[in-house]
Amino acid sequence: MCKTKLLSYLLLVIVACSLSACWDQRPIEDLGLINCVGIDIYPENPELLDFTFVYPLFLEERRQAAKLDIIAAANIGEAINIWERRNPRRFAAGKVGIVIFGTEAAQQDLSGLFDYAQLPLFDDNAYVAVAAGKASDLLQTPLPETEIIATHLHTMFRTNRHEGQTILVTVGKLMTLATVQGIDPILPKVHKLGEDRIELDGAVLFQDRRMVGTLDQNELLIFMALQGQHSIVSIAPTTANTGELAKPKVELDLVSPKTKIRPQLQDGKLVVNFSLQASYVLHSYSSVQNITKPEAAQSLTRDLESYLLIEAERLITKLQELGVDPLGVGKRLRASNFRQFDPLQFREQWADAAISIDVKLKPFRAGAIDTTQPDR
Amino acid sequence: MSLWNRILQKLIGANQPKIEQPLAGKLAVSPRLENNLAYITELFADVADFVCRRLSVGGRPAALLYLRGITDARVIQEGIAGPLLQCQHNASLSELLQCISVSNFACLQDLHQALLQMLEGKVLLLCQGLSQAILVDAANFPKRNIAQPESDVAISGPQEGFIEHLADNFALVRRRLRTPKLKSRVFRLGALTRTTVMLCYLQDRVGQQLLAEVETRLQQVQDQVDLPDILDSYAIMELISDHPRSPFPQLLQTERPDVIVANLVEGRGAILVDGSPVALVAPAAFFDFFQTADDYNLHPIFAAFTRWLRFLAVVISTSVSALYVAVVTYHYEIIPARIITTIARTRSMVPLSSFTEAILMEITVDLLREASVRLPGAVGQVIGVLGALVVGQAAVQANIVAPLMVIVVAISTISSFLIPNNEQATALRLLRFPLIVAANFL
Amino acid sequence: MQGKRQKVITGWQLFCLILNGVVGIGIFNLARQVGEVAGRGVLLTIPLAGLLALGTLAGHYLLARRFPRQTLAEYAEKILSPPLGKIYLGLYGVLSLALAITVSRSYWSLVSAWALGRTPQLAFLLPLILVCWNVARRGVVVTARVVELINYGTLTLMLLLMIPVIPVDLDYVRPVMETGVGGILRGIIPSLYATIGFDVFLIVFPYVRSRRPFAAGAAAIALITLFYTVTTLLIIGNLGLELVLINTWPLQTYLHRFALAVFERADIVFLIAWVFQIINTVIVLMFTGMTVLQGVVPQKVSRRWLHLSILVLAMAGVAWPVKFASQVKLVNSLSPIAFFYHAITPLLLWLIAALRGLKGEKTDVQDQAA
Repeated sequence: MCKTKLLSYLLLVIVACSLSACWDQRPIEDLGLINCVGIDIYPENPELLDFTFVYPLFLEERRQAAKLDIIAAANIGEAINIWERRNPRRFAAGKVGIVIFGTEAAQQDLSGLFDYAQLPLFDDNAYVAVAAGKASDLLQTPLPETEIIATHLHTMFRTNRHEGQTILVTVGKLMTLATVQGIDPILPKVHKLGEDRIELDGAVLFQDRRMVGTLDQNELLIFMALQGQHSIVSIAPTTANTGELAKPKVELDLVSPKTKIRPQLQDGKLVVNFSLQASYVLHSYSSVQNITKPEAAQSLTRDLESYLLIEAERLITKLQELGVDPLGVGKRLRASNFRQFDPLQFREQWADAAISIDVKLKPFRAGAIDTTQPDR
Repeated sequence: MSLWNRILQKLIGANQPKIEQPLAGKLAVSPRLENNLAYITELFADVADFVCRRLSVGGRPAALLYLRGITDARVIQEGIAGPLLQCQHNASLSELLQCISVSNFACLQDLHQALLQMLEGKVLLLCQGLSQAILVDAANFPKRNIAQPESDVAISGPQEGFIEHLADNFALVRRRLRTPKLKSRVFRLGALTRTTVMLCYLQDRVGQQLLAEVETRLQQVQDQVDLPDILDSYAIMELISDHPRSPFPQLLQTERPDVIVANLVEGRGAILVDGSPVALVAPAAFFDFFQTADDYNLHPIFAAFTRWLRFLAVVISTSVSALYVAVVTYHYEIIPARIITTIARTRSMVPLSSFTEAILMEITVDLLREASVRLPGAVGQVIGVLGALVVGQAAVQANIVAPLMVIVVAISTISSFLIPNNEQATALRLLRFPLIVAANFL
Repeated sequence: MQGKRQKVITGWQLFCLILNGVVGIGIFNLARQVGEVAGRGVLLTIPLAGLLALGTLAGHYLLARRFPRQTLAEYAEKILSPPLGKIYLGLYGVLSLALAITVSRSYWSLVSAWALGRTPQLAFLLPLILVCWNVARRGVVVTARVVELINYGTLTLMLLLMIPVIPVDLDYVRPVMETGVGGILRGIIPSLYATIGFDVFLIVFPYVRSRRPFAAGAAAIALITLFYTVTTLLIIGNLGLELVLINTWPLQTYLHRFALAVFERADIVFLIAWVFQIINTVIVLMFTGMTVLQGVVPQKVSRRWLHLSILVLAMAGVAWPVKFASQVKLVNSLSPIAFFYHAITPLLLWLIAALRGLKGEKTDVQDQAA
């Protein structure tokens, strides 16, 4: 009995000794908490990428500042290795919250990110966007001293999304969009306005993993309405399509717009029907008509419907011309009609597809209605 | 014998002095009073509270022997000595007994046994020509009044607690269980203290196997001649539990008669100890230590909620510091991005590693707790304030510990107070240290 | 000895033993392994495999019921005659131990890829094996109790995993008939490999106190099938089949997308919590191996030495350096053998026993207990 006990104690001691070296100890204070990564093309060699790593510096008295390192490497794994060699700290995996591609890098390929995104290096919930111009320029934007760039961008993305102004794409979602057949990625676009302001405006379209075009803010909003994944899409039909909407200012929120996309193959030709349904909340409105009257309200709804219809047609035509399918028409075709779906032929089919769109709107609530009649 | 036992015996066993049994064996009461008294006065020489009062009972010499302080002087004077002096000439034993106006008396032929009973507060009457000792009950031990239990506080329900007096404690139980099925067995434990220990149970309810097991274990303790003293129920708990080396209590301790009664009704055995306000319940499982008397007086939903809260408290109090160390040292990934910068900033200013920090803080908190427990109320409060200031503010301002560490230790300490049983709480508190070590090294 | 065998296992403990013997490492890559063969048909394949597993368990029950007071180690010899029976049991036990080693090694390859990149394999696996061995060698009562206790945590994790917290796009899951009936049927085989481990039923059957042991086993298999189906639906619905197929551990990638309020990385939290489940699985497999091997070695060989040699074997098994790729290959070749041995051969034994008219002693203890 004693022997067995001694033996088991001995085994325990051996095991405990083998453990005490703590190979993976990474004390939090020794980590480089990189929270933003920018990806550009290295100007002197287009084969390489410029990775911009942004991480916070701890100053006294609760003041924060960001530090920025730019490293040229073939991919992000190599960039991290170089950074760790230059820096006494270690790269804190999984804490990158923002990834910004420069326009040139996005036009080349998104693969610089994908090679390593499968490992848990990035936070899969990190937001991805494309900068107009270089990502490093955008990340160097001077901000008010209480804010750091990662928090600023993070808050900006979230607020804009909540207000129905932009789409939000995470690293995880981007990976799915870029891998799954029958849908193309789309990323929001960030601009630098003047010296010290950053703004979200429009979106960038990808074919497979290469940027092929852009959407302006107005097109992006129509796209969001058609995508049907947002609880609120805030549109302001300032461009006049109908007589009634020409002069007055209208701002409205589409509440939970849902679009049924029904693709069908008829004799080898793709026919796609989009039917958009939504309620809307009117924020501000000024017109000759008093929309508290039912007829006027109906007429406004019809006007809005026709506005959305025309804009949606324009958007889809643009998508067809670019040969991109961020709405997932191909994915739906495969799901409903997988025998006829051919991923190789689909792009051509989509470019030549016959499109039909229905829009049905319903007033949900009218907010502050401006009934002044400036013309009289 | 295991290595550990041998070491233990080497360390403590060899120095224990042998205990002599002064009143072991039988000694018949001699009919000659002087012989008896000579033996007794030699035995009780230099015993300050020993009283030997000679008197003449019915014309023959007699002696009243008792211990002052644990006997009632009035009972002796008015109930025993007074009537005896008026006893008729040459009265027989039965006439003598009739004279005594105290109801509780007995006759013994064994002098040793009689002396042992005298040590428990009885008055011993020896008469010339009688080969029997008369014992009259006049015990009056100093005791405190029945009050609210200190450690087993309940918000609602009965507020009576046990005291140090066994008979009173049993009376508290008896008051709640008016049935002849409430049985008890008495043991005398400790060669010198001869502490009265009472095992109570409800016949037909208690498992026979359990009862036999507890009886055997208590009997074994009683038979231990080298065991000098049993001063409290905790000593018994250590002697009769399954795993005496385990830090976790294996018998439930309580100061509340209602808890004892509830457990008796559930079929368990209760052990009451003279001189201790804490009674034991056997058997007890791990989860029994999380019950309080209030659980039975509250609405089931609240009772269940608080009980779950206590389980949560166990998890928090044992593991939250270790979790902090593990997360900060190894798994920083799981800290939300918005907090990690704050933690990293505060940690970067602290020169100590998170492990050292955690151990230091836990020990400091235990020091404070131990200090405030032993001090009188007012001073204890000062210690509390001082501790909060020193640990909470000064240490953080001096960058010796990170603010989050203070919060973590505070949470773990507060959680440990939720565990109702003190023994259990202490055992669980100790678990924290190996867990912190494991969190840092494994 | 047989007369003294006590009914120490409750129905709930049997449920736990079967559940924990089966659910282990499979859940991490089931979606990929089955998806490779069955495409989007996984959602039909897994329930079908579950039904088949249930049928196999019914076969085990028939066999166990013929010998209600004996474990597999005792009656296998009787059915197959001593030399053949010994060989059969020896292989059976070694295979169980090999499975235990494989499960722990596979989990380590996941952990090292995901969290502990620099820790050596031994530092993780040796204590794990030691703990599991220490539980398994203490016999059926301790094993069942430990497994039961850990099982509460496992059930909580399983239920949490089945909640669709991340948006699921059903277009990624449809059409389920993409690969046709052939694909779906082919997919059953890899999904069946994920249900290996329920043969512990044969080992603990004589100890079971429950009136309906088969119901306990069937409930465990049903829950496992439901769990596999729902998680696979959620994983493919969120990641998309194409991404699942290029992921080594799709479940982790799926969890990586879920941020908890307090602990941001659900994948890491899950990885840490699931270690207990892996311990449980290894305990059950080791227990099976040890019990069967006890029937093989002669009575005069001390049990202690048998247990110690099993420990040394297991430790050598986890310490043996094998590259990840060859390990995957090893797992792929071990699975069919283990499935044949653990699931199918008991059915053959039952058939032989029925043909030879062999039966164990009738028991009245079971009726008494009931």
